[in-house]
Amino acid sequence: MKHRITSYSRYLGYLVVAGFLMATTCALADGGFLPYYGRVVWEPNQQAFIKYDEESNTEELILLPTFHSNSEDFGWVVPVPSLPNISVSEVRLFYECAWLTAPLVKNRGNSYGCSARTDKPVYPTSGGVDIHDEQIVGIYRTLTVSSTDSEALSDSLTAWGFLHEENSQTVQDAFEYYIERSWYFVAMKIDTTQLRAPTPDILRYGSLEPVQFNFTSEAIVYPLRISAISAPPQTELLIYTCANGRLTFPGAITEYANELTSGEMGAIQSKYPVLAPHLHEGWFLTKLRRQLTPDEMTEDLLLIPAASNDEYREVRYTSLPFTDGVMLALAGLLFIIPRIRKRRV
Amino acid sequence: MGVTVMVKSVTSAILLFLSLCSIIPASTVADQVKDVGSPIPELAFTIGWHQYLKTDMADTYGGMLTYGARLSWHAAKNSWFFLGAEYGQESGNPYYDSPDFEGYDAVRLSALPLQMGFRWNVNQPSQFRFYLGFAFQAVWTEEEVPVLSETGLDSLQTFTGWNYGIQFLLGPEWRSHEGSRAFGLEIGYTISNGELGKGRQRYGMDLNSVNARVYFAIKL
Repeated sequence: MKHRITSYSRYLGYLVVAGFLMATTCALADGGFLPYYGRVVWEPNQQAFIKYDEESNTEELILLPTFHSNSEDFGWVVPVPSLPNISVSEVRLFYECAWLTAPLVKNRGNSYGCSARTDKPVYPTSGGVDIHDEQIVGIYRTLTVSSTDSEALSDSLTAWGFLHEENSQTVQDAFEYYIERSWYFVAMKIDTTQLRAPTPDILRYGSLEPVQFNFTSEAIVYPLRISAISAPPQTELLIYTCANGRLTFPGAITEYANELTSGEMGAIQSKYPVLAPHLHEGWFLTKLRRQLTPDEMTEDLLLIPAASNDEYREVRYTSLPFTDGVMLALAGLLFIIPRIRKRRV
Repeated sequence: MGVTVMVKSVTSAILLFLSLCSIIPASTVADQVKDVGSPIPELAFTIGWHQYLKTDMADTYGGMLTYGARLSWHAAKNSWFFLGAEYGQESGNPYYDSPDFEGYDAVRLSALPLQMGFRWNVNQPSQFRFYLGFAFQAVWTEEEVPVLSETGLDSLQTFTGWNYGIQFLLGPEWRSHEGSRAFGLEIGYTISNGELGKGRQRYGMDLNSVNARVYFAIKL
């Protein structure tokens, strides 16, 4: 009889431990409490950093291309409202943006956190006749053009290898949208001679350099319209902005907003050396996110001042759940007591 | 480390007070207050400060000012049974250790401690008394935290839950000659733990604190 009770208590102990583990696993599986920065950086389909100086009406637009294919397949057209200066930036800029603006994770107990990595497929970004500029920028060969005829523009870019023939027709509506506004087009291809290891399939995420465009613009604009051509059914758009006020755009979720003080700038300069030169004391750094369908990409995004200049940063508290701790203690007792009794016998 | 020092300090304070009590001359029968053994309940109004001990709680909120009421009955000679309730609300800056985001008072904590306990007068019944006590405590707690919801439409989420624990009390009390009114000072040490939130969105809440409370009591 005594032996049976001991067995029961042991099985009960196993059950309690299993319950504890299940409860803990559920807590871990949430995955939201500690962000996986690689996911934050590479999961959104479109990602940009925009800095806007109101005094000079200049916009600094840094785009992080995401592309899954062979390098010779890569073609990309970015419309801009005025002739741009083009340069490359560092991928680390976007990592530092992600680190700086991540939710603040704080432990409220003797606990641990976890992250669940769920990499989503990254969809290719769409690629786009007067030639204004041609240059090699980082790994890219860029061609800055303008046109008054969308068909001629698509034919030319196709002939020059910046567009695939099957895309030639579909891009014309988008080209027309920008031609009506007298915009310029920056077409880009990978120059395989610039790749350190020119293998056919080198273009996996992590391999592309962000491209920086500096241009004058009356409005703070993100060229979204052209993305509709190649957008997946759901596009996640993530934009960091730095301007002299908190910015937003219709439908955006503000995940972070901070007016940068001199103290904060000091901390950022030592911890985020790539990002810091793009920031400005007294200006607002804002992180905006929105999910879009291709049907919603009928216009470019205009970033506008937010209703308030309140700061915001998410806080996530974590801890070892108290009830799990109690169950663990109970399980421990149920394991230990029968063994002690057994030894005494 | 901090808790150990605090426990030693509380122990020293108890011993000091007991020493003081032993040198207070015993009052005469005539001086003894008439309320001893009285079945009439007593209502006290309290104002207290709870200084949190857990590092994150202390750095975020510091402590909390509470207002409350306590109903007491004589359980026996020199001992009282009491039920109490307090309420407090405090805002805090959770970004205190984040130099790249100096932040603002983004979180808000509301607490409603409910207590049930005993107090003993350790010296002779007189106008000056010294009490020791303990209470079981359940604290309804609500915390507003800036967490984006799945829809992203609201930036503040409210987490609620219960904390359970015990509280040790001690302190002097001055009572009017006829015994119908009293003014007291109480210091305490509270051990209180629990959880806020539901399902996978839950986290521990540590309300361990040292507390000081003043009260004014009247016979009902």
